[in-house]
Amino acid sequence: METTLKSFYRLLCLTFLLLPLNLFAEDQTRIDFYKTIRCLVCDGQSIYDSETVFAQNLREQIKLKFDEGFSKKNIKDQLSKIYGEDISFQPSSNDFFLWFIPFLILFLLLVFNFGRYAKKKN
Amino acid sequence: MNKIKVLIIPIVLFLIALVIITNLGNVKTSVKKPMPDLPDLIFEELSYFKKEAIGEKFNNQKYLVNFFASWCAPCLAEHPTFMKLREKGVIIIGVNFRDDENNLNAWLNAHGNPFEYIIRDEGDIAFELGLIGVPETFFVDGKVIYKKVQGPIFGDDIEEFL
Repeated sequence: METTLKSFYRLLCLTFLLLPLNLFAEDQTRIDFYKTIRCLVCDGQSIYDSETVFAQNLREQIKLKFDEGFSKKNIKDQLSKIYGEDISFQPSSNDFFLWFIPFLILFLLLVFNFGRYAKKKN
Repeated sequence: MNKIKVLIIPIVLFLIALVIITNLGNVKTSVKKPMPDLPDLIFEELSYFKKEAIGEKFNNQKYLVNFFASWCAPCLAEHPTFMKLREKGVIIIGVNFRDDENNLNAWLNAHGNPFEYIIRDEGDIAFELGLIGVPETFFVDGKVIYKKVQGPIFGDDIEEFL
């Protein structure tokens, strides 16, 4: 019985000791997210770097959303809906053609040159 | 070989055109994104002086919603325009953005109060409306925003409204 109690107290102490680490991790997640959001009234700064009222307000509102349990994706979608895609430093991955076309062109050029090379060799 | 050439060139041109068109589409949507209706918070919160909610008082009217703050110099620049509009009977709802209460009172005492209602906003109304900064003025019909002016408002902006 005594051993069980001791184990329980140890576990309790460990939980309390690790709790601040968890909070710190949450803070870091939020900070990393701030760094991906563009300050629309600054030159090339994120809302994390900027001290404008716009950035301050957005940081506070995003923190509230995090506290309410919204996911990063939800918050980003909401921001994009309100401010447009420009609000994010990370362009939407929906632009399939934008990302894929350089590789496609490279591939087609390689095929083209390979054809020419094969013809010359023959 | 010629067959490959004949195929590749149109394909590449088609893909380039596709990328250009896709991106033009993006620019268009980001610039012309539809404006939201006024958030319900504005109508539900108790106003600063009257201590009553706006509710559905202006449902069938045109009015202005102006975001302002006592710390904002351009807000002072547009203030005389609003005073004149008030004299003409234009309804203006002031949204006091992230301001100190004492400073707000002092500012209104010094320069006059052109607002029918004043709502104090800590930032959530501004966030929902996608506010970039103060001053910013929304032209509203019922609850529908049909025009937005970022920065101080002057006579030209308002003529159409009157």
